[in-house]
Amino acid sequence: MKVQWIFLGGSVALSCWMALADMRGEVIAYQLGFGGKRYQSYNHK
Amino acid sequence: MAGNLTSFVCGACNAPQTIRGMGQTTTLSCTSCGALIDITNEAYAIIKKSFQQLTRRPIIPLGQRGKCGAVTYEVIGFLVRSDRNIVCEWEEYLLFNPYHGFCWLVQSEGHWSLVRTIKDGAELQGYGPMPSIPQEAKRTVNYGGQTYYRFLLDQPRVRFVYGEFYWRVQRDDQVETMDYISPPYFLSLESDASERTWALGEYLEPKAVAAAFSVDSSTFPNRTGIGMNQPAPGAGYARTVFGSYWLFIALITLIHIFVVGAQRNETVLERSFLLPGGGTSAPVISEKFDLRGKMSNVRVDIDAPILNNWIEFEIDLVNADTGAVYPAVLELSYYRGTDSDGTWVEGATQREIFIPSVRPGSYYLTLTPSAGQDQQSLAYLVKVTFDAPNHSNFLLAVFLLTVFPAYLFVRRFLFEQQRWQNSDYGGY
Repeated sequence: MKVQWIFLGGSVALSCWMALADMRGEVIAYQLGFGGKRYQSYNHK
Repeated sequence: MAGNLTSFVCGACNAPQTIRGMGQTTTLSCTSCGALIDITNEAYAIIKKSFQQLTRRPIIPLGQRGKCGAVTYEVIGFLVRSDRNIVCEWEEYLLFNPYHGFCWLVQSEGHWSLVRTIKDGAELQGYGPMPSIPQEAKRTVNYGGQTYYRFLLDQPRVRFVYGEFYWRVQRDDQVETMDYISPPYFLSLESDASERTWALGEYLEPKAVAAAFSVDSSTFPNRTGIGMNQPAPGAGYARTVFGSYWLFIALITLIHIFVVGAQRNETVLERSFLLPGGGTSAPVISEKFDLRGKMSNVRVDIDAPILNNWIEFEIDLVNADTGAVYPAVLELSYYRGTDSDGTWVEGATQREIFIPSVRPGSYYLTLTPSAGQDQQSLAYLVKVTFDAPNHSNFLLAVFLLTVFPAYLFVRRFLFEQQRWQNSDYGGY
């Protein structure tokens, strides 16, 4: 029974994560280290 | 239960015997010499002497009590049966409760089931009044709102008898059985020349059986293979997982469609730059452009007509007011040629890259291109789009959401495939 609750909880978290990331213009794959170079903003002033 | 036991002495070997069936059993196999005794009256006549060697002993001893659900049963009989080819043997423990009657605890290759005769079995469709089982038995039967699938047709034979029974059971007695499964349950139709009975079995974990009958589970045989009615992995939650999987897929699809539909997808810069020949160039800086609205991504598209060469751009998106820099790197390579298989092409002259989470403001773009030394001068086109649709989050979420259900599906599929290899009715 625990397994289904972990799956349901994980799915809710994943859906929220994706929705927030989409709305903020984030690219989760970059955050996870996929997609080549790391895109970390900085301030040169 | 204990107050109604009857004792007598076996007429063949003088060993004391105990009758536990309270008038509901008809034969007893002597627990000392194995003689078959009629216990319907106090004469205790010997039906058959020495009709078997006492080579087998039940793991759960006769007289042992255990709870099956809310009912306490006592083990009163034990028999061993084999399949028609005498390849596989299984054990059947006859359980008795004076108020609830008989039921069976069946152990086959370490898999345990509790089996009860069902009174309304005759209502199961597809079987007429004739006692013999048709060779072409129905593929499915329905009982208690569940569909059971045809699994095994057999003519099991009694190999060994020990204790009391409610019919005159003897070694080599043979019946015809047809088993249907709907794990953790099975339906078994047992038929001989005189009658036909349906029984319903439910799978039990060996540890639960050991605990119920206060027996050390280490004395039980190890489970071998897949039990006929053994629940598949994830039986308790698979339906929830698969059902909610599609719900979440629909949910994130809707969210993604909604977010993409609301995006501005605004082109804020579109112009070409010149790369001088020789492969490298000083950084070029674009004019300023404004990113308006909320924080979002910036997509940079570069189209460079290279051929059999590569080019790399170090891109800095710079906030003109704060100096914040959003760096990115974009590489292009495009090769084309011919060989014995014909024309081949590798790479592309156009690519895009996303710069995530850019705050609104006034920006300019710094581009530092470098290419192979043999690169001729060329003009490349740069297009910058603010708040552009990006499907990678959605695809990643679908992938992550699919991992566990896919694993569960494959595991269950392989399990069922192995189970159905033991069936007379083929593949899964």
